[in-house]
Amino acid sequence: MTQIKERNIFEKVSKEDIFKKLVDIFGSENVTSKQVDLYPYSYDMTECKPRMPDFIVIPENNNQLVELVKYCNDNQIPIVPYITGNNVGGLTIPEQGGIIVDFGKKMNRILHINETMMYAILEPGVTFGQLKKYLDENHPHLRYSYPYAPPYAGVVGNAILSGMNSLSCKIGSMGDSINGFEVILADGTVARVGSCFYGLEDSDPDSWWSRYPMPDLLGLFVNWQGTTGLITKCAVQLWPNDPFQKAYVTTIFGLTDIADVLREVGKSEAVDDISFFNIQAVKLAVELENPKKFPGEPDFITIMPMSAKTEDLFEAKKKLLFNIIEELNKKGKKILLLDLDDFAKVFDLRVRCAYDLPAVILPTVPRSGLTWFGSYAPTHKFEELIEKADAIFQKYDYHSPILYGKIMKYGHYGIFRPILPYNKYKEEEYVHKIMEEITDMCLEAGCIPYKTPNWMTEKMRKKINPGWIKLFEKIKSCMDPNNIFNPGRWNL
Amino acid sequence: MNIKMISIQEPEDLISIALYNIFSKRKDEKEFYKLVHDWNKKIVIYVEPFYPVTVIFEGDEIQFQRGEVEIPDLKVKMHINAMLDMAYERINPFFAMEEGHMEIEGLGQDSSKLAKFYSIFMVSLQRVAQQENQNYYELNKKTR
Repeated sequence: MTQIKERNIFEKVSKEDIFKKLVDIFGSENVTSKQVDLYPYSYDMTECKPRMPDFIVIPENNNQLVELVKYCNDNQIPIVPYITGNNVGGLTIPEQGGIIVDFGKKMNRILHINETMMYAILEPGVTFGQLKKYLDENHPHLRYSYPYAPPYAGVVGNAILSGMNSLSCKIGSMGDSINGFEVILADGTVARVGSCFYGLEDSDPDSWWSRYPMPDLLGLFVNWQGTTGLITKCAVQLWPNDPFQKAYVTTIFGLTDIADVLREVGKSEAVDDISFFNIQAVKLAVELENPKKFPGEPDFITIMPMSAKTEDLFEAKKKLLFNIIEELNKKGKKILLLDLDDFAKVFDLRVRCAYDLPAVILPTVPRSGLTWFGSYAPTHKFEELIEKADAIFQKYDYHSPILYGKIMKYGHYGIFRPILPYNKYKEEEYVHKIMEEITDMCLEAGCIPYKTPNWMTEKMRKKINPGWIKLFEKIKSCMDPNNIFNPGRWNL
Repeated sequence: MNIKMISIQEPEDLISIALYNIFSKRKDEKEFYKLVHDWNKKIVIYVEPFYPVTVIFEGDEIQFQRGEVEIPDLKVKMHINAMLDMAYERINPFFAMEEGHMEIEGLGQDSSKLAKFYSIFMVSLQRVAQQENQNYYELNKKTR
């Protein structure tokens, strides 16, 4: 495991003085250093090593945060942004202690919806459940793209970490759907990036409509895991909520035949999303604790939500999908295509939870811990990745092996994610050993993990070209010379 | 007062899970108890393109066994599409038999076997199909 660098954050200023300053900024009801309050922020569901923060603050506005950042920069105190802490990668565990900024409690407002250019300006604490409810009630013809995650997961965190959602086959990474940010830099400067950059003081809320054609400064923050600045507003693109929507499911017999289905259906432009789950994941969803695959069962199930503006267009897309499956079956594959609603009810598979908010990751419910190798993957390697990951699960006789993946942006790239639900505090060493082997195999195949825990970034660094690392570290030291923003992430 | 109900084994394979789901919705019904109690039959249900499962009705219990027993009392074979069409009443089960979408072996002279199978399996299947496809959050709201 990665060694955590020890840092004496009270070198320049005492703990008592920091507490007083935080109370000055946020008010006593929004600051705590009590162990009992700090504890829930010290760990997450992964096997990443827990670490207690020193303080929690609950901000209400930007002025407070500007003051905080300036103070922390002067005194070299770490700041860790936090929404609900349900990421799978130890991303908000304070590697070097310091202050956790909990955006989820008060900075969770939906600030503006632009109907014409279809975007929403959000504070970092807005959750998927909140945004969906708001859109359904106030702008029913618009929708966001929702993840296979609990409804209390944060929208902005998902976007700035390049999550993938229920429209990913069409739109790709959620990082691509960001129009702009407001961000506090290490010296306390408030910068607006994206088309909202006009305006000497406040921005026009109707100006957050694009990230181009100026230099794309969003790249200084997207996927940096909060190590370059503190994002306080984010504009995300919305999409038409088409009136004709339905989902289909395929069952696929043959371990690697899923790859062709993903690639062919993906590039057809017929579906909004195509996600696959192995049969063990499906059984975990119906509360089987130690699922096995038996002879005659399909290896994988795919879920494919579709939408269209007219019935004719929907029927045309459906026909296209049916033709693709028929062609694949003619080539010797064994694929069954069914109406998801028909199938799910009779088989009690609760698959609505996998694509329809409020989602719940049912396969993880029976266990207290969860870890994964979540990666962007080259789709021509899907067969190899599936075969090798399956072999690793079998080698360790793993009790709840989940293989999950997607096609992104009609096939430009894919997602490959072996997932391991486990019993926290009992199986951490065991599960980490499997994770290490899966990580080595996937990195070798060219996968790029996202929301990476530090031990994984350390492995990546050994494979990344030195020029990239040099540029990356140069940018970090320029953006955050005192290393106050989520220090330790990306091994920085 | 003792409430009589059928005990149904919790299975581990996909088709048995579906059958469990279909039967378990009615396990507390008096009428279902009367139908199943002491039927003591072994029925093979083969949902293509999956695999056959033997459903064992014995006393107050329903059990599942992957594969076919050597001499079942009844063997019913249908494609998953036909099964779903019957569930959602898009085709009539008797029409499905006539058209070859559902094959039944082992009826012999005992026509009551078919009637009982229909009442136990087909009615339960249609009952499940009539329910809403609920999201997890919509299930068991009262006891949650």
